[in-house]
Amino acid sequence: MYVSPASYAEAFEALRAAALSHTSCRVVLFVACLDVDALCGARILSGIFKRDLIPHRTCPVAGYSELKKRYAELEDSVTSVILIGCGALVDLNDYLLDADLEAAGDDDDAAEISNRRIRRKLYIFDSHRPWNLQNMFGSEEVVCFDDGDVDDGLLNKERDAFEALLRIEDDDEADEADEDKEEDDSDGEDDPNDEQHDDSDEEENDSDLESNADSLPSKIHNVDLDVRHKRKIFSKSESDDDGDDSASEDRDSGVDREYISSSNDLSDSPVSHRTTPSKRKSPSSRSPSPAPQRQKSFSEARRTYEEVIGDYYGRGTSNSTPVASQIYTLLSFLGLASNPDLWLSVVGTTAVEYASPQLYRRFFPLLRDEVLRLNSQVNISRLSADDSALVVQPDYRLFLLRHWSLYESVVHSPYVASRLHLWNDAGRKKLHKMLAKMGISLQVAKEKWTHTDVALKRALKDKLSSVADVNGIGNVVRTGVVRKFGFRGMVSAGDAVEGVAALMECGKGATINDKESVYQSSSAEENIEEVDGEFKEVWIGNFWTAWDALDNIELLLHGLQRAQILQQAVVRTATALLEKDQVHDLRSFRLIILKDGPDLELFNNPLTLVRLAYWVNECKSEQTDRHSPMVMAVLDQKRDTYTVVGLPARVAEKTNNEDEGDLPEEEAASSNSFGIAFQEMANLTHARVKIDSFESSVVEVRKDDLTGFLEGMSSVGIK
Amino acid sequence: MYGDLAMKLAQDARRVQTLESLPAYQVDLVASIVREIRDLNRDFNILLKKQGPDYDPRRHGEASCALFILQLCVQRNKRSLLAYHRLRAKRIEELAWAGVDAASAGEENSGSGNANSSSGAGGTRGSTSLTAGWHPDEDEYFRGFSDVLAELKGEWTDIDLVGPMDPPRDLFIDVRVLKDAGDIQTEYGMISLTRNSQFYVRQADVERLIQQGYLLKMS
Repeated sequence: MYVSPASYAEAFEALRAAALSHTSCRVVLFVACLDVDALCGARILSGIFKRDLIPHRTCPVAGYSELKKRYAELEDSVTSVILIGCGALVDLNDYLLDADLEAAGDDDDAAEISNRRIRRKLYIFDSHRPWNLQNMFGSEEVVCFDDGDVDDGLLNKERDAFEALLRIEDDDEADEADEDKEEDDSDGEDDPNDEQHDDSDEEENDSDLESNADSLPSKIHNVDLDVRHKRKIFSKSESDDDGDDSASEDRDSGVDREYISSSNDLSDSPVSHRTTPSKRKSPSSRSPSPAPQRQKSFSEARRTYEEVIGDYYGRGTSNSTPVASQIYTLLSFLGLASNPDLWLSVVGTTAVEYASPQLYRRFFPLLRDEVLRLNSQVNISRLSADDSALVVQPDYRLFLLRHWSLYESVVHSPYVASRLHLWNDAGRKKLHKMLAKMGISLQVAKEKWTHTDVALKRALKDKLSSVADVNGIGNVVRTGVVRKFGFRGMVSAGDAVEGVAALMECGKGATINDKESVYQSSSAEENIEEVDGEFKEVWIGNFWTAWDALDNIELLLHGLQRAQILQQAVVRTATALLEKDQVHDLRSFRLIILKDGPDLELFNNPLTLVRLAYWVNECKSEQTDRHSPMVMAVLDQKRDTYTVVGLPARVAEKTNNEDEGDLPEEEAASSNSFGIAFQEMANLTHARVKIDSFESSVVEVRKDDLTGFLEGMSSVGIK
Repeated sequence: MYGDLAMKLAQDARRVQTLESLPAYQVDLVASIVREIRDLNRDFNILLKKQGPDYDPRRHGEASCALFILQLCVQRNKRSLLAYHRLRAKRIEELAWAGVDAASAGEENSGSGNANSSSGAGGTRGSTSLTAGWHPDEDEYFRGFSDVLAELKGEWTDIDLVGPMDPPRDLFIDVRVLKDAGDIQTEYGMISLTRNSQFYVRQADVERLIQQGYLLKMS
């Protein structure tokens, strides 16, 4: 079930009504814990609940397996589960709801749980695309907050196809049921048994749907269902016999579920499903094809529909409306829009800028107007103690300018550094020349920004604009939003993102000035699972630090210091990579394998790794003028794995200025086909791959399997 | 003489203000102040009699000055006594309002009070009871006040008259779970407090767990 923006308020009122009727904790928010956007969104949403005194629980989760585990732990009284920044890609009906039923095993238990669960609803706020169609159109229990794609008719074709397939399946279902009935009747079996049959058929509906989907082309198979594959990990024993595989259907509890061998994946492949359709059907072991003729008449239509859906999922993953601005939309429908929430929304939206600049360019003007609307009477020059107004100001695409020096912020800005080729000497000379042209001495440029001459601060915009175009950094000056924190200074949205993200990546450390702790490592050699768990623990701890930093200026400023240390490491590593020319240009993508270096440990965090990957990709794209996707793998020594991230090709940026008034044309969202490619590869090469991250393009590969995995990737190629 | 003892009593009253519990009644000090007042009064009367019937304050400067000083001292002593007793009375009322079990405390003390009065040495009992060292009259006052209070409360049984006057700032609070606290049973249902989550729940439900260190209250 989907909710279009116009009926957000309605859907939310329903949620609220369900939560209000009682005072125990009935609402649970699951938040993707490595996502600034989701963090901001969750914070706003939590604020709404607080306003209504609705008890709720916020629970950060690191990946699919943890989400599932936490979901299974929920009390029965929970009526609404809200997934923020995760869940759009997978079939939640299958992944979360049905899993419980199966776990219960015994029929009575299952029935009981399903009764209880009828009242429970899952709400999804997620910017990841494509939507799982089962969530959107197939399930009443799952409510997807759509950002208007359905209203715009973008999904019409897919919807029709999906519904048609549903109908076909239902017909089959009915036929089968009828036939069963006839047989039973003629055999004169007891009625109660029969009843039970029908019931179970009904209940089985969902999983049948799925088996239908299973027979779709492999691409969908991979993205759509593969909730199961999402959790596929290094095989514990690849020699699992097939019979066992099909019986357990990777649904059995415990660790085993997470350690599905890739041979198992193969046995899950569409082909094998088609030959053994009874595998996932109800225990009543029906005959595989009860109505061959009808099947035939449908087969043509079915194939076209399947193709449509296959194309849909095959387009690759992309991002859509940031969660924070989506939730802000909800707020304004509810009439609750306020400055603090707007700030969170701006921060959340700014956070997606790295990954999808076109989204930022699309949503920023809307938020800017909102800022101007809510802060029309703000006096910029006067300060007072509890002034937390938002101000629209000229901003620069420089890294933490307000909290660093001009020179450092230029050197550490991916935008400027990539365009000036700052990783080599020529580039650095160019920078010095540029500064000279601007009439800023190096000495002044290296002063801390807070101590820089006020006249220079005022003139910076003009000075930068005058030299920007010549140096190819035409977009360096732009409009930004700045929040005042009383007498404690101002933080721009971009800087806030960096600060919060840095806290998310490396926590706050033992003390404020504890620089070393950025590199803190978890304890020594242990077994893989434990280290793994510990990592997640650290991430979740960091999530809460970042959560607190959103309204705690001291913590945020501390985060900004961390961001500087992190960015220095990123720049250092990236420069080394580029200098030593360790970026391999393969036919269809660029490849970097990072095996050593002083900062290796830092990059075990996907967020930091992505940060580095973007930096290198920017530079490389500028250097060679060739925009190609990139794969970056970094070694995690402790766990003997590689964290692999795939980035789509960079979208060329137009040099138009938002200030001029005309909004940039909507650019095609860059879609990332690595999510699919990684899964295919895992199946093809038998590599032991762990796909757990909500970011489908981030996977973990066993150290020994990386070579084969990447070879497979390069031979198959990326679209 | 001339207010020294009263000064001591005032200092004692000042000390009482900061103390948690009400200390023993200063029987000896109060008695000596009363005695001092009587002495001063006697001196005053003698002096006045000496002046004879044709005493004119304007003509007899020395005498009137002496009389004035004596009068001042008496008044000062009186004020100190009143202040001391008022303070104690207020504290006793507070205790009664706070719901200290008047009956048991009173009974206990009335026994001790009788013992004291019979032995003639008040405030010497070494008991840790709340009313230890009180003057019997104070016990009486406490009991009486409690009775009045009970009568008042009896009329409004559905209102907690002795509850705090400040409304609670937050009915619901944010708590972060530091260690697994398991399932807790609340007035309305069960909440399972699992680690690494943040809950927005009723303060009353989790107050004890905050004190025990399972939960961290977020400001």
